Amino acid sequence: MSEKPLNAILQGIANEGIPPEKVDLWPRVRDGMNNRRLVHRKPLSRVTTRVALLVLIMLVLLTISLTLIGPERALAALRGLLGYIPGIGLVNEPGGLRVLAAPVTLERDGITVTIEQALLDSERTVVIYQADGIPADAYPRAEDAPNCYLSPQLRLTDGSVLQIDRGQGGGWASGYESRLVYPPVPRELNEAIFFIPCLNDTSPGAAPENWELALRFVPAPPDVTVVPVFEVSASPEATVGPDEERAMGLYLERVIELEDSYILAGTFRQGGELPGSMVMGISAWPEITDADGRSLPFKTPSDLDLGSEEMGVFPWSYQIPKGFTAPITVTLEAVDVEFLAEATFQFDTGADPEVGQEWALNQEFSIAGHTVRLVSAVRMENGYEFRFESDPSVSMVSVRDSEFEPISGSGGGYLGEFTVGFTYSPPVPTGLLTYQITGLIARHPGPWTLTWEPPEGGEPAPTLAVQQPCLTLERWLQLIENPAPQLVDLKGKLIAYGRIQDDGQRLSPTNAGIFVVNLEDGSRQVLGPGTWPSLSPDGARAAYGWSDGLHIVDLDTGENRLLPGTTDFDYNPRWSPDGLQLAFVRIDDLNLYLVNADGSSMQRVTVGPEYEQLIGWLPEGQTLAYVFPGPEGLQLRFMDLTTGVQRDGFVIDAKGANATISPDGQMIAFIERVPGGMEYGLYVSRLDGSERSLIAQPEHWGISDPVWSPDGVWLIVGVSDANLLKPEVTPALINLDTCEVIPLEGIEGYVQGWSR
Amino acid sequence: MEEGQAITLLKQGDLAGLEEIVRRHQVDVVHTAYLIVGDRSMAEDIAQASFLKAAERIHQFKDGRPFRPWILRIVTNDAIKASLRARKNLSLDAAQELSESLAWLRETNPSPEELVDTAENRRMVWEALQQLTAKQRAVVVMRYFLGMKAREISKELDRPLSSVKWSLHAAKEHLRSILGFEDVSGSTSLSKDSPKRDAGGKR
Repeated sequence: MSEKPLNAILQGIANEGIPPEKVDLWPRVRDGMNNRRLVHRKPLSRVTTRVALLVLIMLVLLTISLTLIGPERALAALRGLLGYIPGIGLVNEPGGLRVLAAPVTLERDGITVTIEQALLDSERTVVIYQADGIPADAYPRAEDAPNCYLSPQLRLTDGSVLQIDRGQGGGWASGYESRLVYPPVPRELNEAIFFIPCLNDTSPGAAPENWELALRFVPAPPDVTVVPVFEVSASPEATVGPDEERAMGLYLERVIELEDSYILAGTFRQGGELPGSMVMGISAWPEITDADGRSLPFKTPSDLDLGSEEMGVFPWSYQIPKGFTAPITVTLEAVDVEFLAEATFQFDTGADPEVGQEWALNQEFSIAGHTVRLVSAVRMENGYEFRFESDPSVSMVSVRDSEFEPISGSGGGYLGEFTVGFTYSPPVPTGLLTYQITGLIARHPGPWTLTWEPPEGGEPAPTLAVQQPCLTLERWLQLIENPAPQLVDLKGKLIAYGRIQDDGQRLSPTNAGIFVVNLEDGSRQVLGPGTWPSLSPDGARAAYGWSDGLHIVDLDTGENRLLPGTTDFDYNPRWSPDGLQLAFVRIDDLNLYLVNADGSSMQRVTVGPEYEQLIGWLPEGQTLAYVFPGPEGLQLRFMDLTTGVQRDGFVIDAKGANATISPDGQMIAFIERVPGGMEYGLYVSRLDGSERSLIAQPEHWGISDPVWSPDGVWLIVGVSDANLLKPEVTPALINLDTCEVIPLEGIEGYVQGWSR
Repeated sequence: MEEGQAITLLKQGDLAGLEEIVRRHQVDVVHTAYLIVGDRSMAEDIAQASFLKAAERIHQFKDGRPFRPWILRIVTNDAIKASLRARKNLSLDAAQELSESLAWLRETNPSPEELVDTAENRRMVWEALQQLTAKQRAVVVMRYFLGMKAREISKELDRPLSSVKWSLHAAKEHLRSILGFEDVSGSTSLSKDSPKRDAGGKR
């Protein structure tokens, strides 16, 4: 579809729906601000929504750091050096740290609030608190319903009140945990009230409010251990680049050595280069490699509270597992830079221009070494749009109309081709119009590199296993371009969603549906239209979703029946291991349900506002695995259906549930974002996230729908071409023991299940 | 007042800074919300909440960066959430969440050469938009209304690039189908026949 006309149509729709001249949000926003100020709250951030596991992991790390890290490192911090406590962050206290004398707990109406930790130094106060037991009906169901956004305060004994500087946290169905950072508490004050006006995100009046917990602070005991932070400039062991302090580039400033990893922290600095321009940010993730050329995985720690008010300075921090071959190199390919410009162009609209009228302008400008061509101007409904072309590193120019003040501006496009538009309050100006080009945004190439070698003398770490996945794009392309005979002996049945009509057309919903493949004789059984198919464990029946509800079809007789009570809102049915029940997702209320295979005894098994997405059953037949989204990704959770007890797995860094439990219930295969990038890979790990292996990573190609073989030896995953002109998908069969990869060329579609 | 000056004022707690920011961006913000949620009143509520949220988080905003993408990211995400909560197209949306790449199965037709901005086409596009999922609408709005690149959308929505490209492809295909574009010997035509529905159902 032509983009420009669609833009004009969308603009027209928006203008018709809400005429620009009638938009006046300021009174509403002002009233909203004033309402918030009535509760004496500064316009500071509220702790965002939550995932418990992240913080719990932090607490575990904190415990580990307090107990396992050698006392010599602890003493370093207590003597006044800059230190780091995982989960707490950086600490710096020449006179010694203070901590909470003891955890403080308060219970009201079945809800428990606990202050787990507090740590005070001369620069800030960190408080970690937890609320649990919050009933589901305390949370608003509607997105626009009012909820609590007020952050807790620290009320000091001298009458002053500290508001949070920043916060983070995670949550679960019945509670949350937050790490809040406040300004420092004066050294002479050792008591405070932690005041919680309302519990995060709860509806007004739906849960106890105005909590007050009395805190007492004491000097940190000698056994509180803190990991030292090495300031690189004072650390001769580290090598820093680039050499010139004012040069544009990556600067390493701090190094923290943890038990199994290093945290490198520093800044990207524009320095004195590119005068008259401003670096706007780092354009992409860096690549971190070791001396063997291996690309190292890394994480970005969230508790370092990095920030910079300095123009052209962008903090970064990367946590890298030990076991690499030193030195390591951090490489940054490009940054986006805005260059200032002073150029003017004019065009004459005539006295009465028509909407859609276009003027060819063809004017060239040279800005900061880039050539930008103003191609044309178009009269829009309430303004004008200018089309530019440039060399492929330019993404935008800033244009200003200082004569007639537009009510809004817009811009967009690709590198090398973009538009700038203005909307005016009627009447739209006409005649000879003058515009100024005030800036140009371009991708400024590096690369900038930084090399670092850990100090000698530390404990040698086991070699980091940077695993080469079984399936890479290079290998996959070789396999599908040169298909080899399939020599493996596979057994059982596959169920898939894919081509069911050989109509000579490209695969599409009109020729796709559900089919079963018998692996022993290669025969296919087409079941017809449907989605989300699932095979019963004995391979005798299939369940699937369709527009009238969930269906079950007997593969021998072809008998097809609609499960009573199911609707269009139900999908993703998964058979229980005994074949007697189906679990499924009902998106009408975003919960998981159970129903007997005969349609009886339908019951809801989850409650609350989270959007649970079903993974499947554990083989013991009484536990469901599912995920729900949180700020850090998808929280894996297990629910015992007989007791209702829930336990958390790990957090999957993905937006959509794409996971499956192994037949023995010990492992999980899941699609997750590859660390340090935007693309996704197929991983296998234990249910707690340990022993993680990267199995497939076809770069920018799509990968989805992992399925285990009944014996747990093979995985099937759908691999799809990123090329829009080749939307086909080919299932990949991967042997987890041998790393053998076989394209299942005969199956055009997505395999959804494999039964004996 | 320059935008950077307004942001500085807001960071200092001065509402004059917020007023300037609201007046600069309110049309884009409310239009973005409107195209995603399809309801004027809800769009205005979302826009108001987005500005309040931006004010609340202004200390997280890094000086020197453009403010517009930041506020549009906030309003886009809030509009998606509001649509989900309003239960619009949830079946499609949830299905998409669970296996987005399955919809690569959608057919790729040649693009129509021209789609003129007329009242009739606006009505048809509007109706077609309402049949997309909230996230598909958001991707369409981000790409074609806000002019963002697919990679930028990928970053803002925190979705893989392939997923965004698929969403664009699927949304365009869906729009094209509903609007009645047919591929006839490589040429395109615009038909006003009754909308064709996606045979893929929930998937």
